[in-house]
Amino acid sequence: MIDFRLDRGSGVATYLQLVHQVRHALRLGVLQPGDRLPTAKEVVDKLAINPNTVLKAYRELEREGLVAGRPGLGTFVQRSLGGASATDHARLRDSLTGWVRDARSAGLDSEDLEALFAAVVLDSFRVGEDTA
Amino acid sequence: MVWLTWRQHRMQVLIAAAFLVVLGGLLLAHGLRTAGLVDALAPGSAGRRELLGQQFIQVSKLLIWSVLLPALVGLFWGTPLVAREYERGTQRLAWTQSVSRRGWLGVKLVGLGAAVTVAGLVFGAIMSVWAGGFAELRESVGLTNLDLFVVTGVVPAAWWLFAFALGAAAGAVTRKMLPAIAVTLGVFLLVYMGTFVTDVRAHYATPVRVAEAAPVVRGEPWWSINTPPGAAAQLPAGSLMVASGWVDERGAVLPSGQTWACGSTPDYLTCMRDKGYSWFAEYQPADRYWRFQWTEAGLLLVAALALGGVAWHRVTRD
Amino acid sequence: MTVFTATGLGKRYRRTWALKDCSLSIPAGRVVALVGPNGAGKTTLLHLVVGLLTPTAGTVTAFGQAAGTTETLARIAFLAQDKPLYDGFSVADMLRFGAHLNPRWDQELAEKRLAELEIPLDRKVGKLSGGQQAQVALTVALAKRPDLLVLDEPLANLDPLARHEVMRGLMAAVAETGMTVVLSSHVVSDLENTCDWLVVLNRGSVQVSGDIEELLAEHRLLTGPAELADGVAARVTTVDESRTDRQATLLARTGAAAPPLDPKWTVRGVGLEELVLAYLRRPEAASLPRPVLAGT
Repeated sequence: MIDFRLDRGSGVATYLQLVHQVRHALRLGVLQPGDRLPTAKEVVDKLAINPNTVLKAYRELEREGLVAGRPGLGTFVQRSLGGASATDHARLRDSLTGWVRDARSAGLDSEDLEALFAAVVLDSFRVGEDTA
Repeated sequence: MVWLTWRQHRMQVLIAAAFLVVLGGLLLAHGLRTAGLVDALAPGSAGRRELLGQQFIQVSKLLIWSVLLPALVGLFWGTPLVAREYERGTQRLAWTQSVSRRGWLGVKLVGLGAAVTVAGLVFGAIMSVWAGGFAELRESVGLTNLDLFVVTGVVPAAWWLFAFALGAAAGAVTRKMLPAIAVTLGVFLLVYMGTFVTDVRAHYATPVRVAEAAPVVRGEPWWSINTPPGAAAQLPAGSLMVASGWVDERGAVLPSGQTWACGSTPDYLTCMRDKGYSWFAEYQPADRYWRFQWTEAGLLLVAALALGGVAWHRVTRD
Repeated sequence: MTVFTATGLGKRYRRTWALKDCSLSIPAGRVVALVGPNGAGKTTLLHLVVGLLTPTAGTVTAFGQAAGTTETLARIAFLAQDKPLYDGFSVADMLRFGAHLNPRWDQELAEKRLAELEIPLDRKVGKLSGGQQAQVALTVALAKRPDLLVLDEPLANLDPLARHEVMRGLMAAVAETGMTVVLSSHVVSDLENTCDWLVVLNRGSVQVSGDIEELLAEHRLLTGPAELADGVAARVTTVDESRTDRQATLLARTGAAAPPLDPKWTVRGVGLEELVLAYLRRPEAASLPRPVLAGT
């Protein structure tokens, strides 16, 4: 089950942080379709936030079709995110690890790496490349 | 609410109960001992009377401290009732449950008031029963002994209830323990002592008047016979002397200055008689004991209810 | 459904008005933050809502009835400032107190909660630590199963761990029962992630009463050149401003959409604490229109 954290200083609305964390978990495969999300009470017990915030986050996720609430049973994951399967994820992670090693031996530090990566991602999505 | 009243005030109730048990035990022992001592002596004899008198004094000399009992009741039962809640701030807890302020105060006043009254009645009964063992003594019957009047019958219960209501009202008005204690003690002592100082009990009813009560006695020096000797003995047993003095033929009371008219003549009484003066006395007969008991109890009850009303008004107002 | 409503509410002590012409309406199911400086009248307002005080002017109703009647008393639980308890009572006695004085008492809930917090039932209340006493007082309030829970500065005098525990317990109770909570504080950061309705009380008057998300969405911080400031200030409702000779910063109520501005202005959102401070600095500013009484 997913473990939520709260970054109080970030300036991002709490409910959005929860939404992002669920999405992130879905992407990484930590959450699979059929998994149950913690109840508002369970989240509140750990984080001491307003339960309405949790409900709002879940409603947002439901609106995006990622989760569905079943009365009396809880909120369950409907689908995963991202087009790739778990094996694809593993393969891509490996190749990315190799690229990072490569870049580091070329002398780039972590900020250089992030800037380079961000620029490439931006280019790719802006140009609207069809990767299929 | 009944549970809460008990739980908050159980110490007071238990201490009062313990006190009554101990007092009852002590007086029972004293009474039995007296009965045992006096048993051998013939009823009506001087020796018996003397022995009874000695036994009686052992306890009656302590009666002067009887003022403490209602004072303590006022202090420990009355003042904390409202003042301590305000001082500790717990009224904000007690009055925001599901019981209204009226309910809270009503149960406490009625419940504790009833307990105080019962305790006072038990105390009065204990003292009455004990005093009954000394019925042969003049100084213990009827209305002669006001110290005894105040601790027997229903009057003590009325004083205890009055003191309780006074403490509660003082606490409700001052909302702090120390001022409430000061006011309660001050007012109570004033009233209690005041009844003795002003001799108020002598005036609960129109006194009975007798004249010419005094026999003529020869050879007595004037300073000892302003109230003729044996005058008290001429009054029925157990009565309370209200006033005495001399009247002239027309029945007007002589001011004290004129009673010296006969100076220091040895035959003071004959001299006064010759001048046409006669001696009178006003008293309250002993059989008015219960009437006076209820009179005093009634007055105190009215005062207690008024004070309870003060407490009620102050608490339910804001 | 509104949980309580104050209309023109005023309370006077001797000469001074602790509360003056307060009107607000709190919807059900919210966690309300009542903030304001010391002496603003927060305690007075809360005491009026729970029936410990009677109004000098105006009215206050809870659940549609006058505050302080036995019906409203039964539905509202109050945790007063510094959390009064009967020192000589044991913890179990405090629960009995609640049980005897409240028809809707949940003894099981109370015992379970205290067991989870590891507070022994036979300990005298006076011997507990400050945090434990706070939890006992909160338990007595929660076990009453109220529809409205009112707390006067519940986090004052508590260490950070105890504060967190109290808020956690409160939020869990809200998650379970959906009750409305009103808590007052003069420390805004304690309330940021837990409250969703803000009431700002300043010098006895209500400056702000609204949904926190909406309030934050409708206020913006505008920074720009000083010479343009007056023009902008005329077009938006400025709450607070500060100027140097070069630059002006305005905290303004702009409405849901950012107003059209010269590009020299930077616009950003505000945090809750910033918002509250801005209003507190300017007692005349109010985010509410002054209530108009019928007939005037």
